[in-house]
Amino acid sequence: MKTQKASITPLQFMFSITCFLRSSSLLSSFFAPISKTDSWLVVLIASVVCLPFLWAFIMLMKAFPGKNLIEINDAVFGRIAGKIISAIYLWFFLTLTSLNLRDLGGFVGKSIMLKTPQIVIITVFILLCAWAVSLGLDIVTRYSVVFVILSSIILVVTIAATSNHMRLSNFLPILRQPMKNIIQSTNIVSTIPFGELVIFLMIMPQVNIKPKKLGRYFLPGFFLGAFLITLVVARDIAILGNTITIFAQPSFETLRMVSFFEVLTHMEILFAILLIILFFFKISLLFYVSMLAMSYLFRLDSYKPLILPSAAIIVVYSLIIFKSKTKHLEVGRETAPFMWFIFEFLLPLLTLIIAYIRKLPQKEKDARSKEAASA
Amino acid sequence: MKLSRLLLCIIIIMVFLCTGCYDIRELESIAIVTGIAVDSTQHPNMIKFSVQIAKAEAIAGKGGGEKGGGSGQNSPVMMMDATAYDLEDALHSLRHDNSRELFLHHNQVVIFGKALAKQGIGSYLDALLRGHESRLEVPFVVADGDAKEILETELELEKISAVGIQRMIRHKAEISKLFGTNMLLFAAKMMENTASSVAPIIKVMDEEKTKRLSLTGLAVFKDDKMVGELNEPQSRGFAWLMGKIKASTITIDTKKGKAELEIISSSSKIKPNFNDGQKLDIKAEIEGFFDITELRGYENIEMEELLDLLVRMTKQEIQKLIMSCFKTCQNLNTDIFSFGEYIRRHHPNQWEKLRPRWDDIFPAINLSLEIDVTIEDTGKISLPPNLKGEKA
Repeated sequence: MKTQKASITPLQFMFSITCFLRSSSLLSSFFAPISKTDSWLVVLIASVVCLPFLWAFIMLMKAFPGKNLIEINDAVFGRIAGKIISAIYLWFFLTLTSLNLRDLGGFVGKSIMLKTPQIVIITVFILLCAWAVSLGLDIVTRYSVVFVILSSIILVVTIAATSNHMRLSNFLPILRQPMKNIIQSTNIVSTIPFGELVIFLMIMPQVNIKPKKLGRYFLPGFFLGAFLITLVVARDIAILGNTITIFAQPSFETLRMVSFFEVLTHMEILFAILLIILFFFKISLLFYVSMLAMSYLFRLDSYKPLILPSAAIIVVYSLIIFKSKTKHLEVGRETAPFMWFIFEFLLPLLTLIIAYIRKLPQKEKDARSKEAASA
Repeated sequence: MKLSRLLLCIIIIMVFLCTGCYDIRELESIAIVTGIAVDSTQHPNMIKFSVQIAKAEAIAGKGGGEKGGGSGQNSPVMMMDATAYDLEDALHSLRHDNSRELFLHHNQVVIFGKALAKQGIGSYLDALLRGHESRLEVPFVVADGDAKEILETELELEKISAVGIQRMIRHKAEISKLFGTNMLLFAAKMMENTASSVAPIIKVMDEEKTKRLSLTGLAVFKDDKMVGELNEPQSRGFAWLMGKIKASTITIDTKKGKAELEIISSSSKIKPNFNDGQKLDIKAEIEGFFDITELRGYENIEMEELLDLLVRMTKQEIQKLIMSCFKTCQNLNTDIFSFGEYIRRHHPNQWEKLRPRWDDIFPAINLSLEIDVTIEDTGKISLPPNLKGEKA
């Protein structure tokens, strides 16, 4: 197995986490209709709820420095069980990539290029991502700093430009709805953007960082991302009020409302640009992670030959994954949060527990030598 | 390396060749819709859907002063209509019956006929909100009569009447934001549990030779059905009660003279009193700031006395406007003031008790007003100039 060189700086790692989360703020329509005007609080609650799981991620990263998720699975569950679990993870990563690609295709197809067939949009986009992935992870993560700054600037500008439409009373009353809604919504937020951070377990070995300092970069990145999502959701609620529940893309409609002294109007194009940029980042990262997982699973020297064939599979997968947008929303609200829960929280936790029972990080050297002997 | 360069070349060529292949929309292939009018028909389930289409060539080709005569060849706009069961259906039949593609992005105004508004506009509003092409901040008005007739009325100063109507609404909304509504605001208000929404009414004024459009009063909706109207003074009362009136004047007519006061700004605060959940009292604290713009009469009066008188009379006038509006709305049982929503937001515990009986509670609300009037400025002169000269 080839060795990966540590090519990502801690700062890039931190901003990658932020950027990854920020790109999920575009999916507020999954949870906004459920928790309505309390959605911003839900994001905050979810970020606290997620902390134990993030701790599990960090513990795993610390316990197995220099190993990615596939290798950790092998080490913890043994060859066969580890491979099965890794294969399931590979499916999970590919599904995430396809889902995000479908989201992007859906948005561009419905809002910008109405008549262009979705397959064209999706194919062109995945080719771009494939290019980025073939150049390597550091190319993708290097953009994260720029993207976070860019998206934050746009966020600040749009908050300023829509401030004349904002009504703070839209937030009232706070938490006056059935607990069930809040819990369901929290579950969605914690699984769909936050838990997806599990993919960073895959790229961990490439981060040039001392295990001790991990938390110092992981958590600020996470909190910055969560804070940005909260801001986006809060801005949308302040402007749209209770109508936030009916829109498929609340942020898009919010930016349509921009009218700053009749000069700056219709800033929805900013949203479109932001969406495409952030999805580029997210899909590239997910794509990279899928490719890496695949190459490790099949013990290939390089993931590069896999890129184009996988891109083709992902295109088809993202086209057939849902019959329609409504089905997508339904699954995003009802099924995914529970299914993702397994991959994002239960499995890492299980891994950690088994590793603890088997006292694995200490035995690690023996395992490696045994593996080398058998290979 | 060679391959990647080749690829790059192909991509660059593609970028230039494939710009908008699918979504090409040149000016000469689209019909720009500037206004939409929806009317009811004889048939109870069918609507008449009319669109005003701007003829780009006619507008660009002509100089400013000339006016297109009627529906003649040179008119800058044309009307098209279709009768159908619903809005999308009508749009489709217009699309297929047309040499050009309907382009809705630049739609300026949506007008509903009064008869249709009384039947309910919810489903049509849904279609307009849902369509990817339509914009939410498009103002919408209710025609006092036939909506198509409004769109067909030619305005003296505007080539495209829909643009003119949109400007009229915007102008009117300078007095109070409440006088102009758009799809989003209207929908937001309809989604509040108990609130009723309002929309401006537009009317054709028949003058000797020409026709003129005028925005007077507000149509009051209960759910999605129009149930009544507020006349112009009543709608001012509405704006006063909500504390959202400015850039307008108030006329004070007393025995001693007449005064015009310009409203600089206003605000209001609502304080509900629940009386153990049986009855609701609402106290509104209203504040208004004024400048004097015109005084007539008021001879032999001291400045202080005059200001006192004006303040007193202004308070009375505002009280009259508000009460007239409030009584009308209580009779219609329409909570256009969002009192219910205010209580839901700020007193959620009380709201749960009131909500089931809101329809009984609202008409019985006892509204008390506390009006505070400040005259800030008298303009460049204080007392009116005594033009008759000093008579000792």
